Amino acid sequence: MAKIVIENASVSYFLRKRGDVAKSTERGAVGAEVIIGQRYLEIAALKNISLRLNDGDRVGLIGVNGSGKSTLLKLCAGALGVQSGRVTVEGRVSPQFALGSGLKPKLSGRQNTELKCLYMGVPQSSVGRHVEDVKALSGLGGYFELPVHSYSAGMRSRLVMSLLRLVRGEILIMDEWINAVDPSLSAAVGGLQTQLIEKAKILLLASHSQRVLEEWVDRLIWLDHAEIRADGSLQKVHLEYRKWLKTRSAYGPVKQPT
Amino acid sequence: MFQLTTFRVSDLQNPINLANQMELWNRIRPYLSSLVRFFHISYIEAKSEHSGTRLGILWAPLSSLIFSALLALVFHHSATMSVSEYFIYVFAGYALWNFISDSITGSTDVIQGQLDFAVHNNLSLVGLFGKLLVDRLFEYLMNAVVILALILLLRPANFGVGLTLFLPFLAIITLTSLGTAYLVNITTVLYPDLKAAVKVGARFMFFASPVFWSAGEVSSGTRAFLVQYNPVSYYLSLARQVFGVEPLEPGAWAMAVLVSATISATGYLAYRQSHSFVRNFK
Repeated sequence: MAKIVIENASVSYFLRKRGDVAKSTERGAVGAEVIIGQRYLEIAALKNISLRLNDGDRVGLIGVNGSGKSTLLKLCAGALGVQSGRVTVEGRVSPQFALGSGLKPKLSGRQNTELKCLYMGVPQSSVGRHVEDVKALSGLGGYFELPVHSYSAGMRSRLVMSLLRLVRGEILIMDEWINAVDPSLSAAVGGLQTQLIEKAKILLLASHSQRVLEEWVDRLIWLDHAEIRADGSLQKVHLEYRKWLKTRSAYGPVKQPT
Repeated sequence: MFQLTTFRVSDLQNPINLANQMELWNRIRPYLSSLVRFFHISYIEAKSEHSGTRLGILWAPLSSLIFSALLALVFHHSATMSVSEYFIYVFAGYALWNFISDSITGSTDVIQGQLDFAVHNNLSLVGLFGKLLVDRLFEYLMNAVVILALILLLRPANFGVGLTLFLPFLAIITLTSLGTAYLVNITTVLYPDLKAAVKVGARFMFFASPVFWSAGEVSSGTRAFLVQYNPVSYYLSLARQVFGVEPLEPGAWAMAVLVSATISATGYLAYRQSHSFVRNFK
């Protein structure tokens, strides 16, 4: 059984003070509040968030840039700590924050795949077989033996998508990542993404794309200025969000969701 | 065959013992499996660093070996040690010095530079420090194998009781390295100017520690002071005692255990106090 329970969690980023720090506190159209502390600038990225996700939950996150979506995802993945409150995560988490994160650019596709197998707990006796599977699936041919930094964006995308076969997370956390899929990828690789999402017990996905959200999630959490503004069914929350965006656009340019 | 039968009979007679052993094995097994996995990862990464060369990963111990040989040739001043003895003395010290130096200089940017990679590969903060520790141990163990081969070749008489202390020695340096790595990381995150100081300090420590000069042959002056008050000298002495290059000295072990316990406890407390904050520091 997998679950994520967040109780009154507040998360801040800390930065060193540089230059005229007073200017940093000016509020813009996006981004969380910046507080000038004694030694550091504090960005209050999440404030008193409470949330419970259980087996079978398919949850989307929406909100404008800097509203706290990525911070919430990173908190659930263990990449960030809480300044107050509590986070309990049960189950193996598989985060996918950015295409190519978790790869070593200097290593070849083969070496990266071997490493991924080992990190992901693939039995050592089956590493060789999995590596060949990934090679065949990626269609990279000879490039599989070359360093990843020599790949084009599309090639890197192929490798990352093929590596999905090795992901064994019960909790899948994705940040705008589905949009990065190379359209030239084969149906087999595209199918892997579907399998991965379907196999996960909990899906937490941040996206600006209504199409992507409608395809994968049924519950939507709207984050605004580091707080949860709405949490409910996809249709209801998305409608509220769109209405709010229209109102808000009267005060400044706002990118509409696609 | 007889022994095997006896074992099974005794197990049947005492099923509780067998169950306890199985439980213990089941508890240890995942850790051993992770350790082997991490060593495999270190092997792949180390191999890739020397890809394109004929000797490949062998360059890792070979470069230490060559540098130690040069140090031994240039700085051999001992009246009591032959050149070959002095060479093994320097190599045993230099191999551990590399481990110590990597623990310090390689830990200045761990969380800010590598946590994202770690999280994408199923590693927690502790797992990340553990993985980097295994990388250092892997390199040290490669050098240790060469040291053993050299002793067999040049000084077979050195093989002795010291080698039985190899595992306790590894335990001591492992804990110390882990604690040091976290303390260096948190300190340089909070005080970035210390990054440069750490690098310069490590370079200074190389000369201030008995890596290529003999600790046993100084009785007064600055070097004697350094042998007594520089904690690195105790660890270097331990490494040499394990390989039979220096006689066993319980006092050095006691001092190393004390220093290690202090560093490990401080590192643990620092982790407890700072792990939430330090991950959020950009």
